[in-house]
Amino acid sequence: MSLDTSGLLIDGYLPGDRQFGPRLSGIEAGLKYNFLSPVKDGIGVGMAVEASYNWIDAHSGQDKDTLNLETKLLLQKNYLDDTLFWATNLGLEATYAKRGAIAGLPAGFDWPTDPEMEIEFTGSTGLAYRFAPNWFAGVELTYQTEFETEIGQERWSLFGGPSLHYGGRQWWATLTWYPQLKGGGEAFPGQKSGLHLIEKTEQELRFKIGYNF
Amino acid sequence: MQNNWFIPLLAAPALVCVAPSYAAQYLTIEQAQKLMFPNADGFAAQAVALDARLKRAIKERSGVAVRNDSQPVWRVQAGGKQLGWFIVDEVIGKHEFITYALALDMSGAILGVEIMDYRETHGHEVRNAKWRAQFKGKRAGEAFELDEDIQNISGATLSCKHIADGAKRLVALYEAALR
Repeated sequence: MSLDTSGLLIDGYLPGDRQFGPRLSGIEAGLKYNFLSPVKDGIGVGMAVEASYNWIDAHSGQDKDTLNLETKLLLQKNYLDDTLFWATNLGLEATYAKRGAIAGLPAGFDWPTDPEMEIEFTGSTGLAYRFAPNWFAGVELTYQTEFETEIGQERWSLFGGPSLHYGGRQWWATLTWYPQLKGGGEAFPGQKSGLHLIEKTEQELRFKIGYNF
Repeated sequence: MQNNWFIPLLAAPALVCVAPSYAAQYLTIEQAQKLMFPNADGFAAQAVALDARLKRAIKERSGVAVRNDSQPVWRVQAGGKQLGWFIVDEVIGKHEFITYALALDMSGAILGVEIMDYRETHGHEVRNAKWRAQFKGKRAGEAFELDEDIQNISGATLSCKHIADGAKRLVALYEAALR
């Protein structure tokens, strides 16, 4: 991951400037199994389990040991002879995290280093349509909420936006513009209201490339 | 972390390790004709215009939508007698089209299926002769369903399904327009 928190100071979350280029921040392993196929069985039903270990906090760039275990239910239904797709993922993630201590924090800055436990629910849904050979246009929504040991619901957010996907003989790419439509929970002084802007961004642009081999 | 639902959507088949095989033209129209009707001495092009009425009739018989406005069909002859029909069709694999040929006898039963062009990196197992042989003798009214009367190939499910649907659509075309 790369990070630049220059000029950002949020009590309990962002303790100071950090800048670094691409570096390894964690490892993840996952398994997925399809119980029903959307092509053969009318509806696709799958389960995924993902476990990860991270040693850098993705938000602050500070040392933070984080263990995650996520289970997901995957649903998919194909329409119009497999040219229109609807997919929904429901995920539940349990997290154990422990921050490393930081020297020289600003006076009164809250930086708890006791272990914290979090539980996160994610529900996402989307549609994609094959509008031309190799090209798919889609729209997707993701609702996510997280509960934490001390403060109850720490955050929630709703992201939504369009996707454009190209799939060729050897590779595929997906571009998604994903703005945060609504959000809430923990906030920092002076932030825009109606959004969660500590652990999530206001705008997200994703570009993914895959290569088939 | 935001979910990317395109992952299950477009990568649902389990991981498979196969040798890459893509963008391959295995047979030209002439080669497929010769292979499927070795005794024929003539192939007369007789494209079928697929108007709204005919599309509706085929969809009603097969349950498969007709997307093109014309179907390339050849009347197959030998010694002044008709042997059957040779049809070229396209179906979507995963991202790319698969071009295949279907041979029918005079009663509308399938004589064979040949893959002419396969353009995907995965799923080329549909070229397997044993898999294609499952279509021999099938005619309109049969299921053409994966894991019922057509065996699926894991890792090539979309290609299997769409070729089975295509064959089902073409035997319905025979009933509606060629019989």
